[in-house]
Amino acid sequence: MSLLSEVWQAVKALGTGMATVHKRVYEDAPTEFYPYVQPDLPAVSVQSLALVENEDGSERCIVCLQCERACPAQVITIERHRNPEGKGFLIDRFDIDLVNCMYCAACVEACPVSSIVTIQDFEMSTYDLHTLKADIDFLHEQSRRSRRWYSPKFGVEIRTDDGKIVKAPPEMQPGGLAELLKPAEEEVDQ
Amino acid sequence: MSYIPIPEDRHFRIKRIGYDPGRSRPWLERLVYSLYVFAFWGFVIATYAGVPALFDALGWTAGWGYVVMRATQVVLLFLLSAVIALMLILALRKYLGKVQERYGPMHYGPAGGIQTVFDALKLLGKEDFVPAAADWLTFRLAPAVTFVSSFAIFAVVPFASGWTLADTNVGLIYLIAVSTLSTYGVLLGGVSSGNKWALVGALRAGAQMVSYEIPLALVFLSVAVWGGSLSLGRIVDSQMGLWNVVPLFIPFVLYVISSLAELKHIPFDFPEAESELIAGYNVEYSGMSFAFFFLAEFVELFLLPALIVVFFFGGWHGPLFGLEPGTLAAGALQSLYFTIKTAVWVWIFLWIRATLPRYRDDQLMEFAWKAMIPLALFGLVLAAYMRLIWR
Repeated sequence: MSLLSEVWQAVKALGTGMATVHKRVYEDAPTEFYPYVQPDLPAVSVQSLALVENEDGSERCIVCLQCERACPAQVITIERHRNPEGKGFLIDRFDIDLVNCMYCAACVEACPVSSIVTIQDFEMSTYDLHTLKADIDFLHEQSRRSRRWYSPKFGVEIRTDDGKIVKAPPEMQPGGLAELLKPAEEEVDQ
Repeated sequence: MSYIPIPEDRHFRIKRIGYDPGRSRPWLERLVYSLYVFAFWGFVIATYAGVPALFDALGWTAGWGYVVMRATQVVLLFLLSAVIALMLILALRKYLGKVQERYGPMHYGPAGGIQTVFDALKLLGKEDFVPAAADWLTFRLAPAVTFVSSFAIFAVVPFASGWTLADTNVGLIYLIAVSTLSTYGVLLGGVSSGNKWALVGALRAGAQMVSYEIPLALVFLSVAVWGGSLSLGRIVDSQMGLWNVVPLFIPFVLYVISSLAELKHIPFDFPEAESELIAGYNVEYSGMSFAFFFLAEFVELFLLPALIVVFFFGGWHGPLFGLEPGTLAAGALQSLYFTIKTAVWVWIFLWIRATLPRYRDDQLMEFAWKAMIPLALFGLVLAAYMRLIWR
């Protein structure tokens, strides 16, 4: 009798297993078609760095050297001279070695004007590492190519279709800002 | 979020070739996948109805004309087996992908529809290599023996009433003889490779397949006793009222298990256990020699379920809608019923393959000798007894 019950249990286990496997047929695969469909990365994901210009094309960076000082890998090199016509400094050289950069975004946190920002462009693979020794033109171009970037001071900013730079709405901001704002509005309503 | 395209001169640019879900064309995918089925059906009709009708019209029905007709049919069956292998490999890969929550082949043809054709072309282009430690003649002969012993089963499988190459009155004995031969192919291939993995795989295959031949032969005997004939056509005819699966349930279950072992399919895939033996007995084979092992495996994956249908599920039987039996339309419809039943059983075999883990080697032999053979003998005696009192 025990043999028969063992056989029955084995058959039952086989049936359970095969039913479980068959359920998978109706589920969608979580595969992403990356080269054909761009993944929608979160705005705070640090994939690369860029140097943002103002809407009128002038430099947002004030050349305070805070990022150079904050960089733990020491990949940022800045040279500057005094502005002969007014206050502040002008940039001679702004290089980031993106090969040795460890993408900690300490420079982004240190920046007082949110000029250096993180962007979500991860398609940086190259046959020639020298293309990743980014100079100021490269960093400007990266910022012009991206439509959305992040810095802790200003949050997520987006470039609209007509070239204006605006702060993103709370739904696009990280850290659940929209959810944080919601109960406050409800309390005001009550 | 979208980026302005990367400048050509600065970055490595990804080549966007292959499957693009934005441009997917479901009707084309369905067409490509159903083309395999139509090719299969077309080859069956051409082999069993077209060629005899052609030779009848030409008047070549005796002597050498008969030999040429049979030879033409065999060539068509070889093409049919190639179609079966291409179709089943693709079905296996797509089904396993579906079960494991991924897409199978996606990049060649619509939804990967011609991936296996490219695989076959790749195997054709590869160097056919004989290792220095191998025994040349045996090494070369083994894939042929394996493929021929699988392919020879086609001779007695009836696709519709009268649609068989040889409706002999010793069909079952022929089946036992021929399917035992495939053990030789695997054994010779493994032993002659001069490779320790291949040797272990071949020894396992020998032990396993010889053990599981015995319940298989006993199941054949039960079917013969209950059907009252050794001819496969007569066995199918005897299931007109009631399919054999009801009276012969024990032999049916034993047949499914031992045909899984014959196929070297997953609960019994010791001869080619990937995690232990790399590829087992065919580890040293490459190019078309390997392709013939593969072809044999997938032809058997079609033929053993087909024999399940012949023995237990009424073969080609199905509603004929008033068509006269023996005509071309009736034969085509019957072969369609046979194909559908076989396809369901192939799917169940793939399902088992997707579900179960591998058995343990000592338990495998214990199961064969202590459980399956006594049960098969019991099933044989039961079939004989029921035959005595009911028929």
